[in-house]
Amino acid sequence: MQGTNSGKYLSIAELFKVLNHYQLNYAYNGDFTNDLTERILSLAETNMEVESENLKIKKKVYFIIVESLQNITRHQGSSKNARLADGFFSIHKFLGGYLVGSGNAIENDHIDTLSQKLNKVNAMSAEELKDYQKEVLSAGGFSEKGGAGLGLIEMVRKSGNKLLYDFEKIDEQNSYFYFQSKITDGSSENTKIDEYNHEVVKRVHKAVTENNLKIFFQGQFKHENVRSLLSMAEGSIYLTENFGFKKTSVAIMIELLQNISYHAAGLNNSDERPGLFMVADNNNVCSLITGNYVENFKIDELIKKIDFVNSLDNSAIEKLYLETIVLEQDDQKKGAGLGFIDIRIKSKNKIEIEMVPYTDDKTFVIIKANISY
Amino acid sequence: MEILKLEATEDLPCLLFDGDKGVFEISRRSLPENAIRFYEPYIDYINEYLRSPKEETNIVFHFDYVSTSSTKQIMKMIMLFDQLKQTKKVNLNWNYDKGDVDMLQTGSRLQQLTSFKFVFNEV
Repeated sequence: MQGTNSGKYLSIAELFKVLNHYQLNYAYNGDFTNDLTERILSLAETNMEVESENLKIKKKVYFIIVESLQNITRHQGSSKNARLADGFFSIHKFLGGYLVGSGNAIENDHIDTLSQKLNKVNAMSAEELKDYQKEVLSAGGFSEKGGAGLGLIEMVRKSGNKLLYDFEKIDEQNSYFYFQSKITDGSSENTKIDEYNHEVVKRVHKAVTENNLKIFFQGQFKHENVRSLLSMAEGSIYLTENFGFKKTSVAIMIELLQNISYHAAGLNNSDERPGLFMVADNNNVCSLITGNYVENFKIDELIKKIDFVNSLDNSAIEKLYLETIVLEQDDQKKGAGLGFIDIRIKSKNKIEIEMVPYTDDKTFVIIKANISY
Repeated sequence: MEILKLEATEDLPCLLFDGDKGVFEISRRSLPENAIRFYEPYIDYINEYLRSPKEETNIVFHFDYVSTSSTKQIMKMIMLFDQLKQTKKVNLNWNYDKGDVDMLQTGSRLQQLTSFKFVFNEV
């Protein structure tokens, strides 16, 4: 990761394609509170549960996440400049392991010391690390100047891989520090993934900041995932400041997430529900965005539905709500009708829809609900 | 009648159906994976209750969040009680958190589909 040029900006759909090499991608950008970090941990746990990950890897990943989150909360600034104040956390699952990434601003004066620490542990063999850990422990756990802290030693030991890092200059005083651990189960290493390994955390961070995203989730939209994703999103401090805004956002989020879990098309088999969920914030407008594949033959009907809902005025949409609620009572699958009506009413804005052709029979559909606050 | 009770979870409501007392209460969150399947036993219970209902029935809803697929099932229940209203006393309380405009509006909409006069309580 170090020394590489930043890749070109990827549109959301392109990013989705790249990230499709991973089974799960989750990123959060913003303030990290204790409540939020707990929710992030529980989201990760649920996902590992859903993927029925083995206990050994689960424990390792959990440990690395805790350490990474601690690094962010310890170093996140109170600056008014979001680029300086915001912490970044991401997790990416691939066949045979996980990547856990974090990011935070750091003063340029500290770069040398930190690089030395990281290089020191990265250069050590497993034996050397063990001895070094003993040494640091016997010194009371405090690292002498220039030595690495216990956290870093443990991260290298637990992950079984070197720590990747990079600095990107923000201004004369500050840089952004990218930090990434790879946890592998030691069995099948997916070589295809390695091409993206070095860049993935940075790439996602770029997409996240360029699109003003707070939350980015790509993975399977099974019910369990939807539940913890919702809990995590609710815990984001961004949504908790204003009660009415939070209620509306969460209610719309529920409809959008359920929409994916009911209707998204799989790429390999029909049980899959691959999809994307993002929360963006632009000048007092919060956008809740989902992306998923839809079979081409369903596209016209979907567009018609959304166009129709968008075309109605307040009294017409209220009338449609009442008609639909009675009409759809016995059809679980037909939920999207009332769902879109509800989103349109609650958000008080038109629903945006965007199509990105994917294959001959499927299209990547991005749906966006905007809430002004 | 047997009492139906459910503790609230992250996505399922707190529920108390007591046919002998004529009490039907649902609160918190209703975001089940499949709303029709989830509410089916409760709707069956109401249908059974309607065969020999009490003189007075008290229904209380107090939701934080309801998915639209759940709203349809809630409506189904309300419509069942709506029939009972022609012969017995039925009270329907729609409670909502202070400042929760969305939930108040959901209640007002559902009311329009019935002959009920919901009692709205901001709590």
